Amino acid sequence: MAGAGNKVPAPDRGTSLPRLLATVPHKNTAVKLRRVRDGMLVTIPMTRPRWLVPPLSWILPFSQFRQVRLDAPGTAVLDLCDGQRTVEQIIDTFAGENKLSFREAQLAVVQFFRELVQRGIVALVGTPGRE
Amino acid sequence: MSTRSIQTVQQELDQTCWRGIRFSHPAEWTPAILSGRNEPGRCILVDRRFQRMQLHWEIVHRPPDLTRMYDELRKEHKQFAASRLTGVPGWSGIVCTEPGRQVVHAGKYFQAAQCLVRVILTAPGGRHRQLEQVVLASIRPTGQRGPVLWKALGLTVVAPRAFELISSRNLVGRITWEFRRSGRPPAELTIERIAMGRYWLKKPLTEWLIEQQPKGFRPGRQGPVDCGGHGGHELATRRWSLLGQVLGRAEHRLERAWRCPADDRIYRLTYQQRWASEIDWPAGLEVHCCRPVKLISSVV
Repeated sequence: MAGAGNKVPAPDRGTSLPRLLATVPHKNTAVKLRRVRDGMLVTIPMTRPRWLVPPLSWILPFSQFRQVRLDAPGTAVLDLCDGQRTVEQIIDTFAGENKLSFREAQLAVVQFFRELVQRGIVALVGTPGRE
Repeated sequence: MSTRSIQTVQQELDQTCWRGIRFSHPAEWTPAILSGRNEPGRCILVDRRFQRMQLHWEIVHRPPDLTRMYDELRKEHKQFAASRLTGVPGWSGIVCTEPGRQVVHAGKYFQAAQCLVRVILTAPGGRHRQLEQVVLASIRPTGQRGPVLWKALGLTVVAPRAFELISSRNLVGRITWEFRRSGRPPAELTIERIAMGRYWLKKPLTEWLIEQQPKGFRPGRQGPVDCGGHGGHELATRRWSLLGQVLGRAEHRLERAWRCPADDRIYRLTYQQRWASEIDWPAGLEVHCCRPVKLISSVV
């Protein structure tokens, strides 16, 4: 162990998190939301790919929509997306409602928003002035 | 931040105690990285936007030349107008003024514990000297004898020294620490702090605890227990292997769970011991929710 003590660790220089916290999540208006027991059923319309034409389309099935079922905490977060609140404000509210620390709520909510964005349910819109 | 008095700063501090080091920090700085077993000591604390503190510690048998070490670093950082750190007794270091922030690199050698501690404090917008002094002055190695205090991420455990923390998982709203006591008989202790019970706990705690039993364990004694004023449930189970049946030794499991209404968390403790004739909580084990809970088996 001795001898390793003469190197000084370097500080972190990351800046992407403040930008993410300042974004505002907007729900995709084309998405249909239906409350179900212990959560929400989200129906996302799908666009037919250009290459999916006969005879390929006769073989490959194509669904006009995709469904995602959100659990109760996911529904609570999606309900907070009103097009006004920033990600940071949503994390604060979610943390307060569930007696979580900001960091605990942040890990859950940021990961959840990543998945919602990938699935086309939500878009995160940057607001540079709020950073 | 800079206008706050030192008393105010101290009142808002939280404490972290991890793998032989103990320090105070603002409650809004949360550990994002805590070093694992057999790793050099490391802890990184973040606030909601930035990394605020890095702490590295290791056993070094000879005192290092900290003045020289930080003088060299000062030369490397001369583009940031690095100056010597002053005003914190016992600590050497430098202060760098970088665009939009100030960074303090500091180090101290604790002779008695032969422990070298190096710290990086990042202050976006500018330094808060009083906070810096309070944080640096609070850093110290823990004692080498008696029970060990583990305190991080809202969980506080006082465990007998024979128990080594072998894994720590921090999933969303669920902190799990696993301790192991080597030797004979070996024993495993798991402590969990679980949040958001209103979403996932749809049945009484007793029923949930019984459901959590691994396959093959048969229920023995069980019943309600007092957990520092909170109502909890304790359950003892055991499993027999073929050889165990011959030797009259079973695998024992003792579980306890309670809900703390103050922090709305469920605490679950599991203590497992192989090749034992009976089981009881390790002497001196203590878990804190809103108050200290001493683990003494009260179920007959």
